[in-house]
Amino acid sequence: MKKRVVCALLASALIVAAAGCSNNEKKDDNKSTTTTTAAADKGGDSTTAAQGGGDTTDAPADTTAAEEKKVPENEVSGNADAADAVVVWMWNTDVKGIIDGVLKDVDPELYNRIVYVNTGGTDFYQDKLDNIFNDPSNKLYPDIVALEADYILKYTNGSNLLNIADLGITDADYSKEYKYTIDTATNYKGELKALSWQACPGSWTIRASLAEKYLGTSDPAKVQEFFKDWDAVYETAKLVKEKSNGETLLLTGYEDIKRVWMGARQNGWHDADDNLIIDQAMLDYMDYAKKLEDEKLTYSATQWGDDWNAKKTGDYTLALPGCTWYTYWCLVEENFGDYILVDGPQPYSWGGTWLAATKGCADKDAAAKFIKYLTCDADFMAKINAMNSDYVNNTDAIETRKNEVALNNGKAILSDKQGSTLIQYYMDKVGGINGKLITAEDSAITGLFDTQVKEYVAGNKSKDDAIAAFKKNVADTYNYINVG
Amino acid sequence: MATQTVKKHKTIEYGRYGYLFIAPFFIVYLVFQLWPLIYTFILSFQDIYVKYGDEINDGFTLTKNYASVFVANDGTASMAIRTFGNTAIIWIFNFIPQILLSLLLAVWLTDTKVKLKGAGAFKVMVYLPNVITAASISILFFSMFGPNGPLTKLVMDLGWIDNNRFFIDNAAPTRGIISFIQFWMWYGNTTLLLISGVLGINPSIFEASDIDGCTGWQKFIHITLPMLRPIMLYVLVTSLIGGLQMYDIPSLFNVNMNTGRGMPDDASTTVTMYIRFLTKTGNFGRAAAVSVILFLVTLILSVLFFVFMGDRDKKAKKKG
Amino acid sequence: MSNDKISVSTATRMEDASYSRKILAAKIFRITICVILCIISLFPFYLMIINATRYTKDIETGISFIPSGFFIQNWNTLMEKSAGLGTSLWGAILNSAIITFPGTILTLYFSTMTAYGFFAYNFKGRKFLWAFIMAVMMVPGQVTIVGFLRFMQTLGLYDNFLALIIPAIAAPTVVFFMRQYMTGAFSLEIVEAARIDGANEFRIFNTIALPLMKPAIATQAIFAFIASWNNLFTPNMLLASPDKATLPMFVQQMRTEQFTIDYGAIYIGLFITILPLIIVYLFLSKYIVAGVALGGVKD
Repeated sequence: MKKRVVCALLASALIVAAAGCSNNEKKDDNKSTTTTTAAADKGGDSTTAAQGGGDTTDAPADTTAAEEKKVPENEVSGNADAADAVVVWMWNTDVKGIIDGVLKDVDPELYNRIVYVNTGGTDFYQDKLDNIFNDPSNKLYPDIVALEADYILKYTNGSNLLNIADLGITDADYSKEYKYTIDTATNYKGELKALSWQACPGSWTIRASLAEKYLGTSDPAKVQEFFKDWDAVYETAKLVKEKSNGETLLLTGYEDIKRVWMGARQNGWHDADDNLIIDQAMLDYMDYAKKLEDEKLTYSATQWGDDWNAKKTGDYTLALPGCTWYTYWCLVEENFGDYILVDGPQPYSWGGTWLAATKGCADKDAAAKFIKYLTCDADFMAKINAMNSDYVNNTDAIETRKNEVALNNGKAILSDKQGSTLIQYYMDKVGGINGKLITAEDSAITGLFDTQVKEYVAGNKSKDDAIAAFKKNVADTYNYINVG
Repeated sequence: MATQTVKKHKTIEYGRYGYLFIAPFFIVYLVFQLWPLIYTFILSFQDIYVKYGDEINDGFTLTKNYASVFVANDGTASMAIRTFGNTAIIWIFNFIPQILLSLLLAVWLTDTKVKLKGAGAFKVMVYLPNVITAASISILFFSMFGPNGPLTKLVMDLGWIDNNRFFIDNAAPTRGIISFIQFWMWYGNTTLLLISGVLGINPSIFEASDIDGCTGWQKFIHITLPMLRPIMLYVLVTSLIGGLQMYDIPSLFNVNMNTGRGMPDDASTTVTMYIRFLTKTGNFGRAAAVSVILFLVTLILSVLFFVFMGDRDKKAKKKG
Repeated sequence: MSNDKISVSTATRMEDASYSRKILAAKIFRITICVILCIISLFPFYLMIINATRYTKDIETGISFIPSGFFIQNWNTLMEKSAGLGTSLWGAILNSAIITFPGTILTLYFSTMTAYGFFAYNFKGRKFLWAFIMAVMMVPGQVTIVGFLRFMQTLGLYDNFLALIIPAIAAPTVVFFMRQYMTGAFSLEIVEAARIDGANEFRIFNTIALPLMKPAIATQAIFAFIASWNNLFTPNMLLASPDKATLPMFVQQMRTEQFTIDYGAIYIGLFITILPLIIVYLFLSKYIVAGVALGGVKD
């Protein structure tokens, strides 16, 4: 009796579900186009991400292709049992895109040796790295790891990575790289342990049509006037809300401007003696965020959350503070061709991914070769840009590609009104980046800071209480950091 | 006759086989559970932490780890204490409604006067949530109560809340939902245990009370409840011990995926989540110290349980 | 006296009518409550199944009790996204099975064996060792995890399924249950008889004791299986390789940001992960429900 009742209930739910399936096949096709855009996931984590276009190129132009797409059984691709395997670890398909899209043709021999380990999302990436570093006999022990700005120093300061010099890569090899990417990857002893293939200056992405409608212009130079300093941004936020009757807001949430404020800091989270520093810019950011939220000038979305993704679509949001990779990774396809880039109130950078060889690397030559291709070789890097429009970390490569229009799925990302290509826009921004603002503990400390900012913005805590709680949590997490 | 001589020996002659039979259990227990426990104790007195990706061991420390478990750097209560508090709050709001409802259901389902048809099916259905992977359940509830969740939308449409982040931005609703999930998963189990308890009560006691003209309520207060005390104590202690280890539900519900700590502002960080966080950030010494404190709290409860079990055995013997 | 009797009997008659009305009212009330509780128990699963068939954007607009036609599309999205997780859904199920099946078998065999050792033999220190098992019964694995983790690293069993399988040999609660069951349902005379026939002790255990314990083993098998299958904490701490994720670890990844924007895929993923358990439950619910009362398994 009882079994039958449960059976019947569940079975009926299943049958109804299955029946529903066949009913609405048509609806399927209409709507799936939009899903693709929403689904063009970013794969970075809440505090960062440097994404390349692996997914972007893979992402099929139409939905039928998406449905037919062969899905790999397991994301550890390549033969891990081979004696000469070169194991590469990353949290998404970014480097995989470069391997399949460029390396395959350039160096098929090395390509065939690559075992690509995609750990799936940055959320557990550090965990997994810490674990695998403790287990050198594992056949998936990495030869090369990808590291993100937020925690790169944790690993370059530690003993699990090889010096770039020990790989036989010289100053001359990386002389065309942007200096800040070198600074960032240099540890406190002055050793360089990782190199990056991308540079990540920031900018504000503006919806041209909405700017035209609410700000009266879509000329980047004139739009910039509305974003020239933080007071102007605040006035613009009010203006947009008022003129659109709340249909459009300036930002998805206050968190969108966090990276911009962080770029305005004079110091990282702590100094060389492990004393915690809360930069004035971060304190100002707290107040600014609260002001925006109190007056409901944003949608209060959490960065990388579902709300955030939703509010980037349609005509919800006018401004999206982003950066080089953001431009082709996070913007939504339905609005391609309607974006312009402006400088905003201050220069900043956001994220970036570096490559490093591990201490237990089985074949240093192969690792060196791989890193050199991706981060030093101008031809190779120009091909990366051709493939996914990434702003590559090589001035020669940039020079050869600067007149190319940045495409995604065959569509131009930027509006004609921009008046320059994506590369041309960013070219003079890279020099202004301070590569010394990050610390080894950025990922956790910024996370702890975000939590308290949220408490302050929500009105649950006074600013002093929030800061005190932040200090307490930092001291609790990192005993050696002196919070004063 | 060899067999006959064997027969004459009592089981004591075979005693050595007893060791062989229990040996695998004890060997594995000692290696995989007891030694790790002792090792955790040892680690809790060592100043081990990870700095810049490398482990640093500053050697023996009697108090450093333990002090930090109780008092934060600024002299206020530590995060560990807070997580014990969170765990307790979430547990209490799960346990009280759970035991009350289970008692009610146990009485109803064993009531011979008001017989309920389909009691068997009912038991099967309310027990179902208990067998399902807690991780899946947690994510299921988060999907329903998240900013775009169907239940959030429903409650908003009803006008009860005006903000789609209500459930995840406020401590009380987040803890409340976690308590509810725990309650929802476990009240079926508790009901079944209490039913077996009620069925274990000698029916003649109820018959006698009927003759004395006792009301249902009087019977409940004066017979059922006192007779159920041992089994209720068992439920209480096991639930408390289980509750102290609460991990799966809160660790996947409303958390900062970057740190793995409960939101908002650690309101839903439980002790085991905190231990996980400390190991994740390389604070092995302190993680061990928190584990030891958790162990001691559990041990005290286990002793209570042990004492009570002994009691029950004695009573059972007296009856027999 | 006789008057009293009459008045009592009329009163009883009058009460009878109101009494049965009361019973009926109580019955209706109780059934209503029980039905509501059943609905609450099943509703989340129902909602999950319905939402697994709905388009993500529709799910975001509100609740619905009628399924839609996006089951297959959601399925494809799930497959596409989970491909980036290091372990595929099927891989995760396989990993869970590799840990759970041997683990359950070890738990049952050695727990029965240990219980039998305590039950059938009288040896020095028996009382003490039994008291030890009783004492450690309630010690949860979580408190030893830091030591366990580091010890496994020393042993080289880190990131190895064996570290999750071998400890299953020592399951104090199951031993306790088995011995309780033996005390009630097992007679040593059978053992004596077998000894007369010349069977050795291990043969007696394997051919006589084990089969006699079948009902208890069956009950404990279900609980041991479910507990191991659903375990998140220990595998999460011990496994490092991306291709070694167990099913709960796979589920955990659906909470990460790759999935947050695709509810349809999340619901269908959850549906697939709980489906095996629901099927097991449908077939074994009778034993499970009966077993709860027997053993009081709760951890």
